Amino acid sequence: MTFLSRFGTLVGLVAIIALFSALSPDSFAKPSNLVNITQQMSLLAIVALGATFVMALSEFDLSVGAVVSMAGIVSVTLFGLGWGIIPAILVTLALGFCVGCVSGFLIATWRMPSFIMTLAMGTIVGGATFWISDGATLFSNIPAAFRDLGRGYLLGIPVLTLWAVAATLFALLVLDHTELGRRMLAIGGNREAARLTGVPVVRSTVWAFGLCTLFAAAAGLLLAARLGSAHPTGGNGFLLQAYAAAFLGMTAFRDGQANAAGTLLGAAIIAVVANGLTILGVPNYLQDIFTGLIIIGAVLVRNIARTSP
Amino acid sequence: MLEIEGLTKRFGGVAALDGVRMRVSAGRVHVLPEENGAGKSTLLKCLSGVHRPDGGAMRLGGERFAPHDPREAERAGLRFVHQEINLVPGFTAYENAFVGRPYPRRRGLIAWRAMRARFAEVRDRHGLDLDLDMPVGRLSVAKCQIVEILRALMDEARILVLDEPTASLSQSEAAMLHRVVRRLAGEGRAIIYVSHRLDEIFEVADDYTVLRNGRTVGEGSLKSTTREGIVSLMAGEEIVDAAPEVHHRRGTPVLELSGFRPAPSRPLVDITAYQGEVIGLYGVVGSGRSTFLKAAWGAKPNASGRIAVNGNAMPPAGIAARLAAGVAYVPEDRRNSGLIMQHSVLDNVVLPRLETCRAAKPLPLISWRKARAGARTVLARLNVRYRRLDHRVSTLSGGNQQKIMMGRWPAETTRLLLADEPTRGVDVRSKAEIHGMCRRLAEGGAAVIFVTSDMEELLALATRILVMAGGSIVLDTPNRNVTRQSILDAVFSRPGSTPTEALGGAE
Repeated sequence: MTFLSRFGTLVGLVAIIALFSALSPDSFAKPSNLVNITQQMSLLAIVALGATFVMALSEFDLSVGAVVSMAGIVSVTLFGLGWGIIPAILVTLALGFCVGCVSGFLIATWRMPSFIMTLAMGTIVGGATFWISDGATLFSNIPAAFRDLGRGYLLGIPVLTLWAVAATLFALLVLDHTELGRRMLAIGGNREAARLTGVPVVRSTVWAFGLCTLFAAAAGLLLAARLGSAHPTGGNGFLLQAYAAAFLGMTAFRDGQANAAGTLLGAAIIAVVANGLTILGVPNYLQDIFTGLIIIGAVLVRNIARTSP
Repeated sequence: MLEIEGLTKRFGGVAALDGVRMRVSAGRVHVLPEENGAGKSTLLKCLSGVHRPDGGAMRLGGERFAPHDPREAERAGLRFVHQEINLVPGFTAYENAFVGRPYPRRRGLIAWRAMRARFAEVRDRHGLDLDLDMPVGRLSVAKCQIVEILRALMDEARILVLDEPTASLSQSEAAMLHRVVRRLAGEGRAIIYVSHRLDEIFEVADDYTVLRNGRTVGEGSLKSTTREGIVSLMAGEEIVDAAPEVHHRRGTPVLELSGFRPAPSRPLVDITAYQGEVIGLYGVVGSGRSTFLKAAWGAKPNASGRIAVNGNAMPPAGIAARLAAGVAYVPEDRRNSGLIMQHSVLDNVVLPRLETCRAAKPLPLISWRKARAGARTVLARLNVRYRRLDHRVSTLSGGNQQKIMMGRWPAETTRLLLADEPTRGVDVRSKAEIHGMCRRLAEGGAAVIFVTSDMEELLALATRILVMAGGSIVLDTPNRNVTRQSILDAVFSRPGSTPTEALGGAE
């Protein structure tokens, strides 16, 4: 792999940061803003890291947005029923994990296309979330200790940033340093070859989808904690951005493979662009156009770097 | 009509074609009786413009014929009907016939009626019976063959090449196809007909050309030869030397199969493999060898029957149980089902031995230091040439890839190796090394079952020979006093037998 194909995307991030710093040295380049960006990207990073597990399988999970929304609604509803913080969090995470396990199991055993299976699962989860919440935004009965999980600082670093760091380390560990992670990547590389080499395809697939929605549920909890409220479609916007980050990540560090460090980099690019353009006063819709162009550009550069020896 | 003289084609150092001569006349059916690896597929690819021959000449109707690509061959009037059916299942027969051709248009849109009428006209001209409006996915295999043939005949074909058209047809369907072929020849076309079914050759064909090791070893009219004549041409006269020493003393059974059915509607197979045996499984393509091996590995979900490894009963399907019992498997298609081509050498070597690379025994955490060291040891022992462990495995030569597929299984714990065509497309040196691996495993008390289409390899490596035809074992013999002739006799010994329906799988 050439330097360009390995580190091109990272160079891109550095260039974008340099550009914004030059354009608005007083507001963008301030250390407090840079810290702020790490906080802004944290939830996106967590959802995208979860998506990285299923991307390692060369599959998709389109239910992540709905699971983020669900986690917020379920936890706040449980608080309303008088549950303690820890049981409510554990039940919500378990529920998130199960959603992916069910999708993964059906995908692996019945060879359902993951695109369709998880689209349906996301629709079901979204409907259930509306049902639980009656379509309303929930903001009462949220304990302050729970809210602290999503706001405040530890040693001067936003807690959300710390959660994202923890999620990155966990995803790195699983994908690169466990048998499960290597098996997921093997299945993603060539399912039949992996199966014939004795890789337990069903088990690995269930784990990957389970971890994916577990991360989404964790992000949903943190979102509710940060906002102090939960909206039944509050997390839906994460779906496309998470896959944008993960795709950007596939252009970095590894030869077109999903990888945790790359996904973090992808999330950073998206967050930096959003933050920088907002500071420059560029409207939201132009930010989306820029993000789309950056994804196309990154893939193009990677492909050119790969074909030229 | 078609004359081929002195045709040669080399791949690397290996001559796939080495002086092929063939004369095909208009109005006659010319058969190429096929033995695996004789050079038939390379010859067909030279004809269709996929390969460019290195030497020799082809003349078509007196003119030089040297197609650069398949389109040029098509323009010259050659049509190919391949063994695999290549139709869009959801399309009707006539829609399929127009795939890859300009559709008739009416005011810019597809003129469905004209399309159907054109195809119906071709069908009726050849007097064939076919439902036009049924999606081909619901037609029988034989009818699909007819669709393929009609597609080839949509515009004037001078030479029609049929590659194993009856391989998956029943007796009566094959007979129907034979009548079609005879009629097409009667209209003045030349037909080249590839078949490994000697019984049908005499029924359908007029002339023959026999290839062996890429060379024409016999040709002429079928009227002036016999079945035995063809078989002995295919076999050649040769003395097999240095047959491997046969173990008279049998060890304990490693693999016991009884009433084992690799897939539904396949015949039952009973085999016992003993310690120290290297069993060569021979048969023509489509005989069910690969399906059998895959089922023994537990990778065929519909397998049934009794199977035991080292005396422990296994579920008929399920790879995990085989792995735990020390079985190893090397699939036939290393590109699509063997290695993960875009992954690194390291990842591919380590995949089946991840447990041996743990940082600490109880945790499934990988120590990459251990993994790299382990991979280097394996690759050095296998004599694999590579530059860096993190290069893609696709950058290695076929021989090195194949050695990796064989040698990455932990040899110390392997009790039974199932290898499907372990040396196909591999250089001579790697081939010898792979044979060495098989022998060493057997000497160490394991059993090896390998599938091969290469007679030389069968006779040189196997201590025991099994021949499969139509999914059944038709010959089981120690490798003593065995000749090419006796093996081919077994392969073709069952006139009237048809390979049961092609079931999924590699073959």
